[in-house]
Amino acid sequence: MNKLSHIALTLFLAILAYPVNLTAQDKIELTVEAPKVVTLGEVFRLSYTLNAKAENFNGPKIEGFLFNGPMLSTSMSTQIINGQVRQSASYTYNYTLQASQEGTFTIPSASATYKNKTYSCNPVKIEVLKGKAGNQQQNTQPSTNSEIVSSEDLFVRIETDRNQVYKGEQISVVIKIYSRVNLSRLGEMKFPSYSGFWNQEIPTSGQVNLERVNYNGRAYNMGIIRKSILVPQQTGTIVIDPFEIECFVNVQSKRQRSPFDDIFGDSFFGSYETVTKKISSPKVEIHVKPFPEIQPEGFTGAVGTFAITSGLDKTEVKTNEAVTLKVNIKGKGNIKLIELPQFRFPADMEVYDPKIADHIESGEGGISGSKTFEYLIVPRHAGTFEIPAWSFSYFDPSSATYKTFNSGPLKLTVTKGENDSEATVISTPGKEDIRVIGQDIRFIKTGDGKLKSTGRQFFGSAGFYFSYILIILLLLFALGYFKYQFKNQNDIEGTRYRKAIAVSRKQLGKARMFLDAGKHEMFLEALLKGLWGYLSDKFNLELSVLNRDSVTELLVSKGVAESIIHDLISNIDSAEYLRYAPPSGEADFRTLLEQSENMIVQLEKLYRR
Amino acid sequence: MRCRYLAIVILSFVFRVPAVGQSAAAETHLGRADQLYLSGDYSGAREEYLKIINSGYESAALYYNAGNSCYKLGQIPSAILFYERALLISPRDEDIRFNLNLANQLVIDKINPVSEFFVKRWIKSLASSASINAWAILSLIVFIVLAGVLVILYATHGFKYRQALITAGTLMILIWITSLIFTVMQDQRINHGNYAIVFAPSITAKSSPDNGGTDLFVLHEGLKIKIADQVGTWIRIRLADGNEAWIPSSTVEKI
Repeated sequence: MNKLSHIALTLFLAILAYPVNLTAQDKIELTVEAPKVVTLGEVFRLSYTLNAKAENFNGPKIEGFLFNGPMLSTSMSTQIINGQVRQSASYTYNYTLQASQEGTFTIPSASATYKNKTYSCNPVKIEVLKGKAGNQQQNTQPSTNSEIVSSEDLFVRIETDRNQVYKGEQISVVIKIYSRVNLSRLGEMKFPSYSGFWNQEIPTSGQVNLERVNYNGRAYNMGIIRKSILVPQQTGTIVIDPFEIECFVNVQSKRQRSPFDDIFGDSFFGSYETVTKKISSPKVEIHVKPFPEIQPEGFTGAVGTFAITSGLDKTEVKTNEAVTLKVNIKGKGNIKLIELPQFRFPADMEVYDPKIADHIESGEGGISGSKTFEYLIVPRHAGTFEIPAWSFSYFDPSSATYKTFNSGPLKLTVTKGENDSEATVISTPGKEDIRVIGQDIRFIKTGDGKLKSTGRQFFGSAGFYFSYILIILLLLFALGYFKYQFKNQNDIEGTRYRKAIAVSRKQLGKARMFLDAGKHEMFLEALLKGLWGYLSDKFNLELSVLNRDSVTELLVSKGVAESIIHDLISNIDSAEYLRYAPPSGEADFRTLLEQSENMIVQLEKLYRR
Repeated sequence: MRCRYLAIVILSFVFRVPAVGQSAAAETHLGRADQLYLSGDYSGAREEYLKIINSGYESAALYYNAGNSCYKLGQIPSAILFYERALLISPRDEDIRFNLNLANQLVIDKINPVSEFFVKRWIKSLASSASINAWAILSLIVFIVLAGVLVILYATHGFKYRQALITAGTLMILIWITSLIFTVMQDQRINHGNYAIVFAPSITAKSSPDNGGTDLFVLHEGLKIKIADQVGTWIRIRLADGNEAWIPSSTVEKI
């Protein structure tokens, strides 16, 4: 050892020939190192280290211990990184102490002076326990049955900071190994699965450093194997599976002890052998309580203690300018599980997907950190907008109550941008489709309740058919009535028409009688009556409208031959003439009568039914 | 005097009006139901509307409101049934069509109807443009006028506008026939339409009217189907796309 330090010193001196940048030296510190727990009679070391050469070292006043020292030892190291030379030195003052009585003792602080500055360190507390004879003083009193490593001497434990928690509350879990044996190394480990928990391991150096502790009044070498933060995800009793580890322990070999052993000690002659021991921790039960039943609005399962801030970075903007709505949740708890805040933004704003940033640390105290949500909002239209209040509730396990944060409504005033309006007017006509935000059925029809009995319908009802039958009957009745009327009328005319010849013959017969009796005037009257009567009956005309012209016209229109019309008219004319002319011969009358009779026969021939 | 009595008897026979007292009671129910709907008590409103319907009254608005309260309660098949019934009474009501369309969007089954010949569609929409009673009364009125024209034509020979009257009469015969056809069409649609709404959440349609039939397709609640035939407790249904199958009649409700 001494040789080595000599070599180091030589090397150091060689390097010292270089100009060394001494200002790059670290901050000067005085540190102290001592075990916290010792057993009665144990010899241990108390060392003070200063990373510079002290001009003066004032050792502590040690009471309650037998001690020897201080002894100074020096070590130096030089690093050259990229041409930068770094040098460090440490000066250690060592005391060798032996505990002489039980109890807790405090070694007051020591101080050292370097470049006229005094550096001091903290006082040290050392607990002295009653030692178990044998193990700690192997050199003097080796145990006879050391090959049996009892579970009292070597065990592992899963230690939790609490066993009664709320769902979502953090538990700090430490897996520790306690040993009072000569532990050579640790083998395979099987960690519990932590099912039912959300598990976050706290990063450690990866090395298990043993430390003296007092466990149940005994001094043990304790090493922390793993630290984790557990967050229960379900309620009820959750059992953490045992932790299993394989340990290699140096025990004294069984072979016959040589007499040299006593003189030189065991380690020199390899009378130790390594045995393998598998140990496992006891199970740990965690009772997880559910949340109180009445949950406030906005509670999504966040547990812990949080501080929340939320707000807009600007409250007055111009159109098309971006605004940021920032929500920051900071604190200790299951911050990773906090959900996106649900803001109900006004529909007329463009809102981009939020930027979520979280900064989460898992350390000794549990998981803590912050989560930030940033919404970028671009108002496209001027006006005063209000983002409705958003509330965030979390459960605080320390007070076992819900706490609610309410952002309050956020107001945003948007004014029209300066260059904005003209540009939009030119580029687009400024019309937009109405955006449909929701859909719902139309409202009920109120008032105006024109209720009608079910199944009542006019078509197909008796009334419908009755109406039709009624109308058809009325129609038939009307048609029948008119038909009767027409028939009557037709009958009168027809009779006259058919009986025209008979009536005129009768009249002409009368005329012949008058002629025979020599009553010429009566004869002419009867003859004319017969002629006119015939025409009147035959053509359904009134006697009063009959004269020469109207008869001529009628007969022409009926298509009667010109000669017949002429004969008829001349006959009538002669009869009229003879009526007022002086009496003439009997023969004229006879001719007139005969001609008239012929006339009628001819006409009758033409108009026979 | 006797004639007047007869007229009153006939008229009251033709246009029978429901008893006034009963109708007033139903209308107070209606007012209460509307009030309940307004206050958001949809299940209460639904009960009231159903009470009115069960007491033997109907109107498009009544069915529509009942449908709305069913819709708000999430009872989509009932809502569709009521909307369809409301549409039977007033086929061209915009609100009913809108809400029915919205409710139909919540129906799982999507069926592409076979498109109808456009003339048939026009005729159908024309027939639906008025209620059955309107068509029936129109046909009656046209028939009365037609009878009058016939009488005039018969009774007069030398009437000056005889030709015009004949033309008008021919036209009236056409109108009369059309309105009568439309009345019958409406009657077919309303009283013999045989449409139904599926109420079972999910049913498997079979190829024959027994449970052992081959599974053809699966229908879901709210779908409108046409009943083509009935055998025992099974009905043969026809979908809008022309597919046919058999389902138990208890799974549907007739419109």
